[in-house]
Amino acid sequence: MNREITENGESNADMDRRAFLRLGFNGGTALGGAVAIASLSGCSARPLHDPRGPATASAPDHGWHFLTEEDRVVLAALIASIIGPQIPSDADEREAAITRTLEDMDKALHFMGPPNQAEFRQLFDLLEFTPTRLTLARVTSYWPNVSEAQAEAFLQRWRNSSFNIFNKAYLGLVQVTNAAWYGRPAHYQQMGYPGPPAYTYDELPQLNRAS
Amino acid sequence: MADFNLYGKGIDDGWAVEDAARLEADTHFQADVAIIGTGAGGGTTAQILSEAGFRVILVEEGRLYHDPDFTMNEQKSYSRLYQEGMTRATADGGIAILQGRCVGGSTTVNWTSSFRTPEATLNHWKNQHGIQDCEPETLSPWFGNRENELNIQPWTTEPNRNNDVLREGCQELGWDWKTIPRNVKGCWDLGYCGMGCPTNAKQSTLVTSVPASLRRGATLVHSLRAEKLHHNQDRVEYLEATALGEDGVAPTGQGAHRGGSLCGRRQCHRIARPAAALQGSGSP
Repeated sequence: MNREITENGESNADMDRRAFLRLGFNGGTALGGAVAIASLSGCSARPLHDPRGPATASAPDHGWHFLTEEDRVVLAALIASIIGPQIPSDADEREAAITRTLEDMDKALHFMGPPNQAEFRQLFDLLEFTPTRLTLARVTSYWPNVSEAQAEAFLQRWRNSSFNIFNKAYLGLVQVTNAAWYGRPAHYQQMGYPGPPAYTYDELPQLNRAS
Repeated sequence: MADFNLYGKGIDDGWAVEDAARLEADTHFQADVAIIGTGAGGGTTAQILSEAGFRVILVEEGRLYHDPDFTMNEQKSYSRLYQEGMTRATADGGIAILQGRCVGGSTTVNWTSSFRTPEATLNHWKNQHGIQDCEPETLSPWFGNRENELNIQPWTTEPNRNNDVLREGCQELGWDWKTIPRNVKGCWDLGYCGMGCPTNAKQSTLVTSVPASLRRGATLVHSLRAEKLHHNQDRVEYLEATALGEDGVAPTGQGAHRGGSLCGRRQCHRIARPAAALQGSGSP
């Protein structure tokens, strides 16, 4: 039993979502067919929660712009694989780092505008809707139970897929995650970026104010 | 020494700068000319028209960010200063389009490369799009005027190793290469042009023609998205616009056209592209 099916009702928004899913993911005949079957089965991954509602316990007041709770569960399962050994091993630190990354990804997605958001919404729908998760992502566990090894295997499948659409989806996930992670000044050093030249902190008034 | 806090000082001096995010009700502005966009086209047009004595309003969808905001932080800059948070691309996703969305438009975020429009491009505009008066010789004095005003000169700094390899390669192959002309005054060579120039060295419209217009009494309304030109017969009567919130994304009103709106109430007609300027009927 899975939550997507049992908790979903019908609405015009659902119909629009399914039509979009069919139209947008037409990268290959086989894939298009699979998505169409998923769409015709009468279910879609409508967000179960108000995306602006309160989120995780570690950020009770954070208003989410784009990422739903389901999206965040998917991403939380993937972030550690994408970032790799830079993820803290301590459980609390790790959770805090993932939450901060999700917040920054959400902000970035907020600024990306409707066309990009529509594509990411399709992508999350595909990952969250059980039949497409099983057939297209080939992730057999429900996302909260996905292990790091399963996450890594999934990412590599999409990275190396002969379907362009999966390569693109892989890049989308990895780029947004990396931009959020390495955009944090605390993580600059992990990729060997020293930040702006040291002398500018003395010479530029806006950096003096910021410090 | 760089002139810091340009807009802070200007606003103290009485520049008319409105943040549409702070409008609490529908608002009507009146002017001889409303100009949509504050980049290379809009900013320059605003300066010319305000110096010619017209009452000008500059309408900018993006927000006003200036040197105090330019802290060389990629994450903030890309989200705030670019169209679609710097993810705009061609329809097939193959080519990124790094287009500005802020006061100064793309001139605020470009890497200062400032060359004359190539003849092949001008010919394309003329032949494919019917643009008149865009021959190189017709435009030459206009290009010269900008090069002079914006201090556009070939970069004097020695190329780094990467660029030097490209130069050598071009020379070996007999390919054409040139040093990039740049619109800078007193550049610190920090390499953060794309995040907004932190020293005001880049001669973007943000620090040149927009301030010049404001000094001549023009009004800048930022965080305001132009929505619709309302026509009365064959003339544009007013421009309707939507106020965007302090995030620069979400409209402040509930409906698409609620919140602040901007209407130039005089009879207007379109006089220029791509600035889409609106001109009062009493004007030439």
